[in-house]
Amino acid sequence: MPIFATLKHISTYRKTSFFSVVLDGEETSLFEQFIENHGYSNKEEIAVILTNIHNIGNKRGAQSRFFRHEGAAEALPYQRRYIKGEPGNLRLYCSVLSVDVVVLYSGHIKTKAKAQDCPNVSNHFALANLISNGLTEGIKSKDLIIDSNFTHRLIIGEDFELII
Amino acid sequence: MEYNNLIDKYLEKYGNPETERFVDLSLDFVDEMHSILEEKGISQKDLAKRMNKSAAEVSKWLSGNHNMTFKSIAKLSVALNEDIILTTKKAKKLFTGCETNVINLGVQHSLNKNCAHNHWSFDFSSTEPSITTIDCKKTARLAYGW
Repeated sequence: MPIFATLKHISTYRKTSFFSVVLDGEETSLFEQFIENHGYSNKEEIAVILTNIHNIGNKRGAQSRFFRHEGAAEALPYQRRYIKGEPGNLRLYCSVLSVDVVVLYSGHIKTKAKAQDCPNVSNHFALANLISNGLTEGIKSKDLIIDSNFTHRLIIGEDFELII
Repeated sequence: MEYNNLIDKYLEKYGNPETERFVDLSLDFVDEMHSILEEKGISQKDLAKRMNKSAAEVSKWLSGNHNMTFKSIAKLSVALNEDIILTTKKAKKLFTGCETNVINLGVQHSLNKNCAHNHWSFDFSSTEPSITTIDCKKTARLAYGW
């Protein structure tokens, strides 16, 4: 059964704007749910991910080299940080639509090399890929337009329906 | 949890200077590697050959999946024949004596391969004098293949 979703603005920095996706019937976006679920239990790793977003957004722009590439989607953080001797493996899936616009989804702690094999992230990974494909279609059909001239806005056409 | 300016609010509470520096340094490293490979026209595959490593391994090094050590940075520096990280002391030593303004009157100006400044080039050869920025290090690399 198809799921309808809408885009929600999260934050705009000097170089890049960040959006997320609200699935039909839910009140908060996938990114907000991600922070809600991991913001207290994985403070250090969430701080690394959000610091990446802040740094990329303010200082660099969303160049693809700052992201991990997983299927049709991307993931943060770029770095593997060792916390108490263990590699931090919290992943946030996202789509880099341009250097100006990134759409943030959700994620979890990755326990296997391949996202598809990991019981924690496989659903988030699959959803990220589906949404990413939907957004790519929207851009192709010009229902979604990235306006990078002034505020890195994402112009969402009236007829645009994100169907996953 | 309040969701307005979620990212900034979270970082205000739980962010710290060490994490900021860690993220900034690692993204600087990615930028530096990207720029060196691009300027020298070296692909990741070429780099892997130079380092006697598999392409997958080098890709891992460049994509943040490798815990960089002094040894790995030294390996990269040798393979690229390039300083990837400069200490402040070394940088000061290298940049001393570097001209801060270069007047370009159609004459080849002196290029310092270790210069990281953006020099200004004043061109008075045409009726409308123009000022352009020169990335000295990049220009030197391109001109002399350093």
